[in-house]
Amino acid sequence: MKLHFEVDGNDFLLAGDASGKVKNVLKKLGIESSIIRKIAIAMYEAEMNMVIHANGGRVDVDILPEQIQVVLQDTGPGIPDIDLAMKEGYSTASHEIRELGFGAGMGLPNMKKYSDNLHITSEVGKGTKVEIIILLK
Amino acid sequence: MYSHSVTLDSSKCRGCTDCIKRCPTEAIRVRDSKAKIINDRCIDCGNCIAVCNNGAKKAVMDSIGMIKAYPYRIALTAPSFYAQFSKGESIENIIAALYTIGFTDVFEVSQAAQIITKHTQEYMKSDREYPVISSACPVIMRLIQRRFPALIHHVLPIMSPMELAARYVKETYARAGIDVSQVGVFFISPCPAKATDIHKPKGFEKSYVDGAFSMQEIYLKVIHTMEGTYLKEKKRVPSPDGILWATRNGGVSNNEIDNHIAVDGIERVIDILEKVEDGTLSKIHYIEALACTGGCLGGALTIENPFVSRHTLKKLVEKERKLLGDKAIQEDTLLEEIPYLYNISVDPKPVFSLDEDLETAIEMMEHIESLYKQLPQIDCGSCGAPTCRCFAEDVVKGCANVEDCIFMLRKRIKELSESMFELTKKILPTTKG
Repeated sequence: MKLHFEVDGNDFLLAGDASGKVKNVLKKLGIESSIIRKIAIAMYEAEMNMVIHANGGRVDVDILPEQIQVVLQDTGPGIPDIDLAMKEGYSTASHEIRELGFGAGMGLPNMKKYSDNLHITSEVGKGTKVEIIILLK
Repeated sequence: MYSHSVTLDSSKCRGCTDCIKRCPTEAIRVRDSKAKIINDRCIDCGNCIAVCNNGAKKAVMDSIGMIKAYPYRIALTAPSFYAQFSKGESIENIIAALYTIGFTDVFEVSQAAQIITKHTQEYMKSDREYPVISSACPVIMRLIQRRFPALIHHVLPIMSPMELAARYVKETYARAGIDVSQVGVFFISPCPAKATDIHKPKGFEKSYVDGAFSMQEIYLKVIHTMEGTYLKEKKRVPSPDGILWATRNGGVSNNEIDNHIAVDGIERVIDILEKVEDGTLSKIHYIEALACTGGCLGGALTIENPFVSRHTLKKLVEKERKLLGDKAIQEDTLLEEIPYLYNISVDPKPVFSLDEDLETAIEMMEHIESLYKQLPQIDCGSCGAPTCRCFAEDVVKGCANVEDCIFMLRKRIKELSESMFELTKKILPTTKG
């Protein structure tokens, strides 16, 4: 089944709403809790990144019996050096964002840790596409 | 068979929809003008008792008459019980009144709470899967089993102060050569969940508490006993730190466990647990979570407003500290020796999953999503379900009909009348139009 969300980049209070809704759907589907946890962590991180860096974007989730695919797409500034961004502790977040407890530079490493397959494509000035795949079998 | 403490008095229920909206596990539906509790989902939080204006939701607690069956009848008093007496009644007087109403002994749960705090600190010294979530509130345990099964292994596997107190009492009597089947241990409870907890315990096979009475019922008896009679005060040991347990932040202090948060009120607890699930609270080591606002002082069976009782408790703690003075609390080695760890695991209860087969569940979820889109999405409750989404689920599961929604019904009527009107325009072949 497919789910679609538009993530508003201006409303910090709603940040995490899409991953919260996906989590609830997965619980109702009876998916094993350890797998739900992986998706929750990876998707929440990706969604927050989209809000913090790219002023929101679109999320498409496709739930199949064998895997769950989450695609997050934004039209933000893009990531100049993906390898650097994947390093633990690397962060470009502003002071205000860090004060809120985000931007510690663990976002991308955590996404990688919890996804079975993580694919990021980005073009500076155009946007970023993050594809998270978590296997169910 | 015993299933729940929270139940419905259907003669008083008017079928309004106040309670269905406040239930954190969507466990209530209105059918035939009466609220129906879905037992598998109910976590005994007592929200519906607090919100019902007709007194139709009630807690079925044990009856105090049951104590007569035991020659030795021990009352377990929690600090939250003392906090209900806002007119300055002393703990000694309250305990004396409990003897008068038929108990033969009183053990204060605060004594056990101090030991549980110690065990918790010890447990936290080893590396654990953070954050560890306290297990003292039975409602939170039930909530985690149902809504947050991924967090079960974060739960502190240590029994509640009430349970430790009961085990200690029975062990003490046994050591004095008394047959424990003659010893009844009873808890004076601030909430319905504690009653469910002793009849259906978590983490161990059987609870050593034999009955749980409503705090309101015992309070009345104690007040009546105190009036006009002189009671000989009973000797006791002050335990200020144990008494603090009843308030938020009471269980464990920040000095002892670093990175510790205390949260109360079930909605806020749910919010915190969502964050734990999302991995954003991994730097927090310990979470003390209580379902009622104001902790146990806000329980559905308490008498006094929790903000008043909190003040009363604060005064009691000050008094206890003064009484205790410089004296060190005598350590009770037996109390410390009682095994306190869970010996059976806590299992998830996936009551929300649609179907065991994933493909079937996905198919059902697709139906739910498409039906939800057609619904008004105003969560009016007229269908008897708390939200439009929940109603869509009920329909797909076969527990409700689409026409139970008045908006859908009106749409159907409109469609039908339109097609009837169309039919009236048809001309019979034998007549002229």
